[in-house]
Formats: sequence, structure tokens, C-alpha cells
Amino acid sequence: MTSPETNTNPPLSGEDRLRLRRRRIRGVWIVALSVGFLGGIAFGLADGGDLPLSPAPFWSLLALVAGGVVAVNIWFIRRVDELEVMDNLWASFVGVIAHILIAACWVAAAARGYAPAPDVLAVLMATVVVTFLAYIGLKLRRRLG
Amino acid sequence: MNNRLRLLRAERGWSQAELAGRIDVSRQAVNAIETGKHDPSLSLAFRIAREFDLSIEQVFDGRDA
Repeated sequence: MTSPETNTNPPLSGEDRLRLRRRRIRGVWIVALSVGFLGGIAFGLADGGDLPLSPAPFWSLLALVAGGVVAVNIWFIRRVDELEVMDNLWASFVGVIAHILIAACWVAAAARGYAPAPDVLAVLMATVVVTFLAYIGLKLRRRLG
Repeated sequence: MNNRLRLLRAERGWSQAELAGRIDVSRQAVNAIETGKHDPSLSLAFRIAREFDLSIEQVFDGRDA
């Protein structure tokens, strides 16, 4: 352990601390997204190729992915400031409302024969897009408004 | 909520990024508080006041901007 007398490093300025904090958060996101991207490609190749996954490795892999996504998001939300948490909550709220509306309207329309049967993946993608747009909108409003 | 953050920061010659690093928030958060677009939580308001060696009332006056 270093005693205060032997520690010759000057204290970091606020700007340095902010830079370090930004770099750490950016680094974790880059690593997480890279692992997710490469893992997704590997999973797709294994699943669609000559090495179809049996149930045990398949579920283990899914559990690993789900655990990783939850862990990274908890880590992120505990390290960012309250403004970022608020923006994330608002965007998530808009996403949930959009998800409910899109799914409910599509199911109602399909039941009456006005639309094809609901596609889960399309509803999911629409939810992700709306959530992302809401988040960008909040950021832009703060920056421009 | 009205506050004297910009003035206090200028008195010390700190940039928004400098203050942000000192109170462990983003520069955007400092800007949002200064311009009255975000009211800080009680714990953040205490952190800000402590950074300037002032009481909360000396930084924030509690009236809407």
C-alpha cells in the first residue's frame, strides 16, 4: 500500500477525471458490442452450418448472452449520472408504450383481416427503433433547445 | 430552479467539463443544471454545494427559472 507521503502523483483535474470516466464507459461498450457482434456471427455460422447446437449448449449460450446484456446494462446505469438515467428511463417508457400500441393494433387489425398475422420480430424491431429515436430526440432537444 | 452555478464556476475559472469531473457527472448535466433544464437531485445538489464550499441555499434559490 502506498502511503500519502510516498504518493507523488498530482491529483487529477476535473477534466482529466471526466475524460477517464468517458473513456472507461466507451471502452466497456466497445468491448461488449464487439463480443456481441462476433458472438452473433459465430452463433449464426454454427447454427446454420454443419454444427447445429444441441439443446444444452444452446440454452447455456442464451443464458450467457442474457446474463452479459443484463450485467453490462446494470454496470452502465450505475456509472452514468442522473440525467443519463432519466433519458434512458424516458426512452424506455416511450419504447414500452410503443410496443404495447404496435402489438395491440396489429393483433386487432389481423383479427379483422385488415393486416397479416403479427410478426414478433417486426414488433420487436419497431420497439427498438422507437426507443432509439426517443433517446436521440431527448439528447437533441437538450442540445438544441 | 434558479441557481448561481455559472457565476460560481466562472469565479473559480472552471470549465463545465472541470466542474463535471469534480462532481462526477457529464458536461451535459452541468449545462442542463446551469440553464435550468434539469433540477438536480438532493444528493447532487449537496455535492455541487460542497464543491464550492457553500450551502445549498447559496447555490440554488428554489424558485423556478
